[in-house]
Amino acid sequence: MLRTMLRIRLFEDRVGGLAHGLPGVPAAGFRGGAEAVVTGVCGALRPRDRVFTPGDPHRRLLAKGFDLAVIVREALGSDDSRTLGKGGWADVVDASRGLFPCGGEMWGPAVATGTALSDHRLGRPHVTAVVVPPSTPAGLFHESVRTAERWSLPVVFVVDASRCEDRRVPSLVDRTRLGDVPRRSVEGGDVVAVTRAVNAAAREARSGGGPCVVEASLTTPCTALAATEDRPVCAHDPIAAYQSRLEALHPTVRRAVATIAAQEDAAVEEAVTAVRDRLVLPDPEVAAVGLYAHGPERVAS
Amino acid sequence: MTVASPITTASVRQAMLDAIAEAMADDGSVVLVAPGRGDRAPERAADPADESGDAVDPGRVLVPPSDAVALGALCAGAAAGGLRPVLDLTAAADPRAALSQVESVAAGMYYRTGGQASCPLVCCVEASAWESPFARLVNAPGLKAALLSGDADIRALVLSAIRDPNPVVLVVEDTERIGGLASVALAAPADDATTERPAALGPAAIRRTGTDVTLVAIGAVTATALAVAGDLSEDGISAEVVEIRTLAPLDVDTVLESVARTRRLVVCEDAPGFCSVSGEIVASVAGVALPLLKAPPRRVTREHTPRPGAPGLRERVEVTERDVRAAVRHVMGPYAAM
Repeated sequence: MLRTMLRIRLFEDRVGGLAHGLPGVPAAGFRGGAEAVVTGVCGALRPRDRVFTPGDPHRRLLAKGFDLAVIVREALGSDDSRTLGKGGWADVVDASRGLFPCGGEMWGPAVATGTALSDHRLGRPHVTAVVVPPSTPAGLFHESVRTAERWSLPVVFVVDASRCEDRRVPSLVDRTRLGDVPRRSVEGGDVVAVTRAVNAAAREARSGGGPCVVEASLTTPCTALAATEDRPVCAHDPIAAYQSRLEALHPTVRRAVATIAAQEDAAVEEAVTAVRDRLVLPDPEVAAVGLYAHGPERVAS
Repeated sequence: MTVASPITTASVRQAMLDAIAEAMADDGSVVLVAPGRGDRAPERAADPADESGDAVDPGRVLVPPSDAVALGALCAGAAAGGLRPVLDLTAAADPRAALSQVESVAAGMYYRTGGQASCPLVCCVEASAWESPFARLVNAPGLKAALLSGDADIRALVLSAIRDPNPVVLVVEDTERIGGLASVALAAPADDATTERPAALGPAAIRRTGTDVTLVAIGAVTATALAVAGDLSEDGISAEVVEIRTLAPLDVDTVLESVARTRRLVVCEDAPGFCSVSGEIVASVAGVALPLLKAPPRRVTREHTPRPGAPGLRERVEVTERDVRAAVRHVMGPYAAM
């Protein structure tokens, strides 16, 4: 889990500076922090379970362990990217790893609920998890949750309110009438707690218990702010928190963490360099073709 | 001569549900998602016994808990995941919220995923729910849109839409006009009307052959065009009527072939003309066949206003037989000697 969180952070640092303005990369940069939530969600689920992260669509690829070069190709709009340069990492599809188009921040919860509906109706044993920011429109979130409840769909709705700035946004869960849908609150900066909460919710959903809402928020005051050159870091930094936890258990962890960080940094650097040096952008003529599907080709399993 | 029963809103829905039931029998992944409306309990709105006997499998009718706010995106996700959902919004108070999700999520899915995922979703809406759905639908690349304007077409188009791997919006047009279309079809002489109607999405249908002018009619306004064509034949004007049944993809080729024969064009559309499908047809013909035309093409469209309430005002802004007749005479009259 530490490795995954480090990979997310290092990747965002590297690719965010490289690819602004290119397909799939938010022009305003990445929303740093909160690596614990997506890491915990993906760590709690089975490989083929569905994961939607419409607010940060690249993070599910990283947390699912996708090849870094594949992700970088998508970021740079490479000719040999999975979406052929026409979409971005929100549009990467890989049913064997539970990836379907995210549907955007606005509609992501509903798209995820629809995918769960298909799994449920077609008898597949998968659970769907959707990680949404607290700024998600409450009405749409409400309707997605209540629809999943009515049809007993195996969906885990995770509200990621674990960034310090999320404190300024009223709780999405409080703004939603959940009815009888179970709600779990968890410390969003604690990757272990998130993993446990999502694991329990997924187990219940898989056994026919219907949807669950997990709210991952900051439960302790944000008092220890310290700034680095690029990013404000506070006591809620999930990587630092998890590292401290490990070090308390094993004094030798510090050296191991340094090794992991160096390995991940090198892996990200290598992937970015390799793709960038051999980057071939798509033939512009490709943009005008492929609007309609013609055959029975489908991605569903 | 074809014998048809009068077409009503109920019969259109019945034909749709029959076709959906037929598709369900063929394909286990087809489900009907049907939100209710205020004057009927949701379960009743989708109750197969309500309108279609035992045809639709009740186990495959899904009634969502509330209105249609997130249903478009939900059905897009379901379609990507392997179902073939039919989202019936004909009973929804306002289908536009759900439709915007079909446009923004489903329409571009095949393209944006580089062909990795298709989105076979069908969305049924009523045209009367808002002012002008046509131009909006054709401006969502990746979306197909067809018009349900006759009972023989409904089964074919619904089946074709459900089997299509792309998202399709089926627009149920104003039933008053549809009823008019049926009565005109009944009255038309067998040797003067083309009764064969293409079943697949896309092709336009030549409803009446002629040599002097091409009357392109978009959907249910075909009834008006056919009535005018019948009247004009008594004056010696032979009008060919081309019915546009699918808005996207638009069958411009059939229109061009007809115009190449008649060399005159009038396009009728029951929608405001500004940035409209009729405008696109005229532009497409002008871009290819302008030198062929004996007269500048004309359009007959609704005024660019909301639908007024009073009968007199409504007639003023809508497409009438008089408007169509005047447009045909305009392209025929001053240029008839050319």
